[in-house]
Amino acid sequence: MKRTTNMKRVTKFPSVPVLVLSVLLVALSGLAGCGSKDTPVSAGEEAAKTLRVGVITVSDEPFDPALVNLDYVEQIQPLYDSLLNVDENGNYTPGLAEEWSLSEDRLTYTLKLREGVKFHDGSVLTSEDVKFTLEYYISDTSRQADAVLLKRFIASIDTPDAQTAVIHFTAPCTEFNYLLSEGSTGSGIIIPKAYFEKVGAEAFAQDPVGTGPFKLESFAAGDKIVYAANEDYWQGAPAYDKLILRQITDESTRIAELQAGNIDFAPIGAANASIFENSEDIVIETVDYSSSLAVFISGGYQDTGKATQNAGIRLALSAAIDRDALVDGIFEGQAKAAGAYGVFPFTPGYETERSVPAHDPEKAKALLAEANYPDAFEDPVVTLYDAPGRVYSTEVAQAIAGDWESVGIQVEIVSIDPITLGTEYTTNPANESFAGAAYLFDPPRKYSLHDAFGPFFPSNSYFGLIQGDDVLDKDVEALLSQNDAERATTVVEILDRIDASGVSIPLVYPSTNYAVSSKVKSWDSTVAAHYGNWFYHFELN
Amino acid sequence: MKYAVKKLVQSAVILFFVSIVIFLAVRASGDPLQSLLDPRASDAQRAALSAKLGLDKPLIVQYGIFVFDALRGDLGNSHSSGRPVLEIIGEKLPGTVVLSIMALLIAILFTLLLGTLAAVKKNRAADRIVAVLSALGQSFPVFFVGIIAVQLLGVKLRIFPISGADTPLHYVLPGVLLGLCVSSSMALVLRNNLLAELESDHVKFARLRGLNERSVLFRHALRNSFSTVLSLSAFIFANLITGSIVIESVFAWPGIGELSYQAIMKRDFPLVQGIVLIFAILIVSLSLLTDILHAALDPRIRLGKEEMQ
Repeated sequence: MKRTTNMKRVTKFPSVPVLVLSVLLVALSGLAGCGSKDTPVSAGEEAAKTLRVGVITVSDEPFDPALVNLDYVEQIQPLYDSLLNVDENGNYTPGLAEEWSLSEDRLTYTLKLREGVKFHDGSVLTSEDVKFTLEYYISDTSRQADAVLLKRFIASIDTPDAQTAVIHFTAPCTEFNYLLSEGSTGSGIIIPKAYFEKVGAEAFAQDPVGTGPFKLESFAAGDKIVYAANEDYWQGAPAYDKLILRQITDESTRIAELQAGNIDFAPIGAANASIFENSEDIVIETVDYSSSLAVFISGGYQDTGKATQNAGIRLALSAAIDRDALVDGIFEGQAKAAGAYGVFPFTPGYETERSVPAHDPEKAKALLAEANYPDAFEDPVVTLYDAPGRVYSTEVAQAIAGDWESVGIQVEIVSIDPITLGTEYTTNPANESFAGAAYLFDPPRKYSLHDAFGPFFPSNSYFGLIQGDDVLDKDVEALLSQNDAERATTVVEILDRIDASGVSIPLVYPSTNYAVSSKVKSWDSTVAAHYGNWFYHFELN
Repeated sequence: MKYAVKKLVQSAVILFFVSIVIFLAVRASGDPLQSLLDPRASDAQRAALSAKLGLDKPLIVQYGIFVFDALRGDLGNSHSSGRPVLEIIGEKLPGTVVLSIMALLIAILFTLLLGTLAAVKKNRAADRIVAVLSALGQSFPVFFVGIIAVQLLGVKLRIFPISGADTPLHYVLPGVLLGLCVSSSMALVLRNNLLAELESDHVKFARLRGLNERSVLFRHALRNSFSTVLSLSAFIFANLITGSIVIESVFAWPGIGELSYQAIMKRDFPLVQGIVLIFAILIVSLSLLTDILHAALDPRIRLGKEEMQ
């Protein structure tokens, strides 16, 4: 009886779902067919003279240089200019300031502004804007990354005429070329006093006005920023009409958008660069020395009973690492083995040719034996924190943990998110759980020398990897008032002391790969391209 | 009415506990000043910002302000952008809700088709095919299927846009993909419910009354079994919204999932609190609505089992 019933159902049922399914498929195909020709991007963005860039994040940040998070300064740069620019050799060149000079006693810094520079609202740049901006950066409401240094050295600012600004220092200082340049953390950007005072900070952050080559057209956090060319730009209008930064976080999606011709330029990880090897439309271009990757040892000076408290063990950790294997295996050749952390080819002291630590497992084993590892230590396990802020960090952590284990070091990798890691390493002295831990550190290359060594010295730092070293402390402080020749000598001394401590284990200088479509005629891939307003230098076919 | 009031009170209590948990949880997750200030910032800068954001006040005071403002419809301003939290959520939520509704409708359609087909063709080829498809749908990670769909339909065939949310067409790939993934599990639920219904006394009675098989299936068995799927739908819809982060990442979809991720990574307390609270209200409301609808459809729930007996 049941079987008969089931058979009845079978014979009568199928027509309904098939019908509905067909309708759905037809509807979807219709939808698809209707828009297939101009599907990939909206019409407004398809203009030939639009540069479409895929970026990891379009963050909901204020467009105010005093408030924007340092990680997202790139978002606001197209709208602004800095007082000084930087060339491919790291030399300072004219920006909004045509001339600049430091008095012999290094206490007075004088800027001569370029004439005829206009803000987007049509007002003319004057020395009052410079004074107002710098005073805003050092105000209590500012979150500007270099506000501490600015505040420490700026005693007063005079504006004898509309084109001249004179900054008086509280103590001799040579750091203002860096601080006022496009290579800084944004502290060289100048905003318009009159407009800011008229609209207020809140409105300025959403509707910004600068002197830069682009004006803000629209902004949708997590989606895209559209900039329109500033036709009245003092260096000449950009070579294209619009710049669009689109958030495409997932790398496989960025690759797909490049392949489909929907974006023209995007950063691509080393592991995926080979996808475009045979592409006619996309080439991969590499910018070397993008950042400085090192392993830092936290709280090595603390009495924790951990193995990393011993300098010999720390040096063994360095000797055990095969940097060439990292370059070839993880970075696919797109990185350079590093002999120091934080100094780059264009910074004073780099040309001392500090050698890359050799991969020497035997030396590492000897150092371990000398320190009677693991028996002499209450806690012989080396904890390596992996905060996956970069695409390669987890692979790097696993590779160096493998190197350490191969010489007999016990390792534990701990995944941690970058903010939690930040909380840990800015606690001074380091928390008990974090003291003695190793962690990857990989800041971008635009920091000054003084910034680069900030993690090591105690007096003005929350990091304090090394404490109680008066000579190091004095040397790092001295960098702020030295000229480049003097700095080169000081840098060597500092690097020697850091090397001896073993708290910094330099790994590599990672490169950044960019996938560039045939629509891009030229762009500036030199070192200078990564400073300030590099999108201005693109030309399109 | 009494039942609805009871559920309403329960919902308010749940929201109250959610507000406490999220308030404490975000504060245990790290220091927001870490993402707002450079590590070299001075103590004075930290103190000034802390005071500006109200983080220097005792926890109980901060919680009081949060609840008092929330009751007035003010979820505060984002720490990082300074914009009102409601405005930020208002920009992102509609896109995610529309995407989720589309996914849910597709899921319901495919669930009905596949679940019913599998049930009426129990143990036959169609049933097995549906079982295999469901297993595949549940076992393949959604991002993996998404990447394949992007490569095939976006890059090779160029039928659909790959990422973004600019046009209605941008909804198709992520919506269909999400819908299919959800329907893979719902279809099996419907199949099993339907099979049980087809064996139940009231269906047997309907057949004995001489109703044709189509009426038995659609008017009696499917209607009853689908009510379970429908009640699941409310939670699936809530899950689609709250769990949309993977699909939003694959399709660079500027929605609430991506916003949540950024807010958590930056320890943006007001934004995280606001998102969780809105989600909680959404889920609690859906749950309340489902309960009330269920009670309206099924007297056993409304009146209680004892009264029925």
